Amino acid sequence: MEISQLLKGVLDLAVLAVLREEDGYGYDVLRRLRAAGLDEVGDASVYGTLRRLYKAGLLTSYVVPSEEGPHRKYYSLNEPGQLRLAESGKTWQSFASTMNVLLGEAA
Amino acid sequence: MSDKPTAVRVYLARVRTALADLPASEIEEILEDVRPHLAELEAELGEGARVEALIERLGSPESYAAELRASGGYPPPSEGAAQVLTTTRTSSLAKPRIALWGLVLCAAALALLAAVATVSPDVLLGLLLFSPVFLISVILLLRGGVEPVLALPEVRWLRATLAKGREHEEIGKLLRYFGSMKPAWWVLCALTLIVFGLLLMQRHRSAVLLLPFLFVVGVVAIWAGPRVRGDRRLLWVTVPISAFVIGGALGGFGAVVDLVSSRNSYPGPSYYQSSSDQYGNEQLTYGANEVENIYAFDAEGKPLTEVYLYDEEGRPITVTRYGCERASGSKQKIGADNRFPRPRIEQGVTDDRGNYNGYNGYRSACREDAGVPFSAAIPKMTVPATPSPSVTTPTTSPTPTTSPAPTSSSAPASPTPTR
Repeated sequence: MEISQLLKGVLDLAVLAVLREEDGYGYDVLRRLRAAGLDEVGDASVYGTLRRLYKAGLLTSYVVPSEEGPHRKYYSLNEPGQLRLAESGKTWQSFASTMNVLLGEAA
Repeated sequence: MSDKPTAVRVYLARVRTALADLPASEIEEILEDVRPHLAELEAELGEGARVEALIERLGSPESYAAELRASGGYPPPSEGAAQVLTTTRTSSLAKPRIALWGLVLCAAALALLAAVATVSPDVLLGLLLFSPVFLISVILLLRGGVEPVLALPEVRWLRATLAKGREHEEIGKLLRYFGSMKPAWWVLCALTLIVFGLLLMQRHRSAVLLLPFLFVVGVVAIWAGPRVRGDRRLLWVTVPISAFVIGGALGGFGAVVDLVSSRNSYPGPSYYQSSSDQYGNEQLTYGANEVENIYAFDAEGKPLTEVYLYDEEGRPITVTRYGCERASGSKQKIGADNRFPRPRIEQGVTDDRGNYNGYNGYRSACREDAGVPFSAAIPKMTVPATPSPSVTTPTTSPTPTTSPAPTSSSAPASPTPTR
C-alpha cells in the first residue's frame, strides 16, 4: 500500500505532533517530519496542511525576521491545537492497535 | 532580498498564478511558508539556479499549487471556485473588467493624444472626453480593490505568459534587462513630460498653464514608479503616464521635424493647409481662396489665350487639367500642365435632340468653354512701368444663357482701385 495514501489521513496529526515540542516555520516542520521517517510527505502538502490547521484555529503564527533570506513565519500549537492533538492521538492509537490486532491475526 | 528575478521568484510567480482565484491575503500567507524553503533550495543549488532545477525537485509550480489546494482544503481551481462563487463571480467580474479596460482604453487614448498633441494642442481637450472613463475605472478600483482585477482571466493569462517568458532564457534576459531600467524610465518620464510642455509652449503660449501640471505628474511618476510592485493600484497612475510619454515621444519626433522644417522655410503663419487636389497636384491659392483658373490680359485689355506660368525659380506651375468625358458627360482629369487659362467646364443635361440644359434634358452632359467670361479694362499708366497686377476689373458678366461659370469665384469680386 502506498504510504502517501496513508499519509493523507494522518498528516494533520503528524504536523500537530512535530509542533508539540517546539514552534517551527514551514520548512522546519517539513524537515522534522522527514527526519522522523515520513520521507514520502510532499512539500506542498505540509504547507497546505499548516494553513488548514491555522485556519481551523489550531495553530497561531508569528513572523521572525531572518538575517539572510526571507523572513520566517513560525507556527505554534495553541490550546485547541493541543486538545485536538490529544484527541486525534487517542483515536490513532486505538485505530493502530485495532489494525495491529487485525494484521496479527491475518499474518 | 535582491531585486533580480531568481529561479525562486519565477517558480513562486507561477504558483501564485495557479492560485490566483484564492484571496490575495491567503496566497501571501501560503507563499510566506513556501518562500524560506525555496530560498534554501536555491542556496543549495547555487546562485545561477534555473527554474528547471527547482521543477526537478518540487514538480511543476502548477502541480505544487494543486497539492497545496488539496491539502489546504482550498477549492480546486476551476470547478470548485466556479461552483461556490458562480453568482458572486459573474457579477463581480464586470466591475474589475470595466476598471481594467477603462485603464487600457485611457492609456491608449492618452498615447494617441500625446502623439498628435504636438501638432495641435487642441487635441488635449480630448482628455476631457476620456476623463469620465478614467474616473469610473479608478472609482471601481478603489471600491473593489485591485485583487479582483488581478484575478481576471485576461490578467492571469498575461501574468502566466510573462512568467513563462521569464523562464525562457532569451526572453527572460530581455525582460530582466527592461526590469533593470525601470528606475531610469520613471525619471525619463518626468523629463519627457517637462520637455513636452516646453515644446508645446513653443507653439502655443497658453501651454504655459500646463507646465505646473506636467511637473506634478512627473514627480508623481518618480514617486509611484518604484512602488508599483508593492501596490498594484499604482498601475492606474503609472500606466497612463507611461502611455502618455511613449505617445508624446513618438509625436515629439514629428514635432521636431516640423519645427526644423518651419525654421528653414519662410517665417509665415505656422498653420498648414493641404493645397493638393485629389490627384496629388498642387492647387493654386490666392490668400485663403482656392484659385481654379487664371486669365491673363495684355496692356490693351486683350485676353491672352495661351499663357504658360512659372514661379520665381522657373518651376512650371502645374495644375490638374480637367476636361469633358464624352461617354459619361462628366468632368474628368485629362492631364496636368501649366497652360492658362483653362477652358471652363460646365456640367448640365441634354435631351435627345442635343439641346443643352433644355426642359427635357435628362442625360448628364458636359461642355468645355474656352472663352473668357469677362473682359478687363486696363487703366493707362502715366509712368512707363509694368502695370501693377491688381487692376483687373470685371466689367461684364457672362452671357445670361449659360449658367454661372464655376470659375466666377476666381474673378475678383470687387474692382480694385488703382494706386
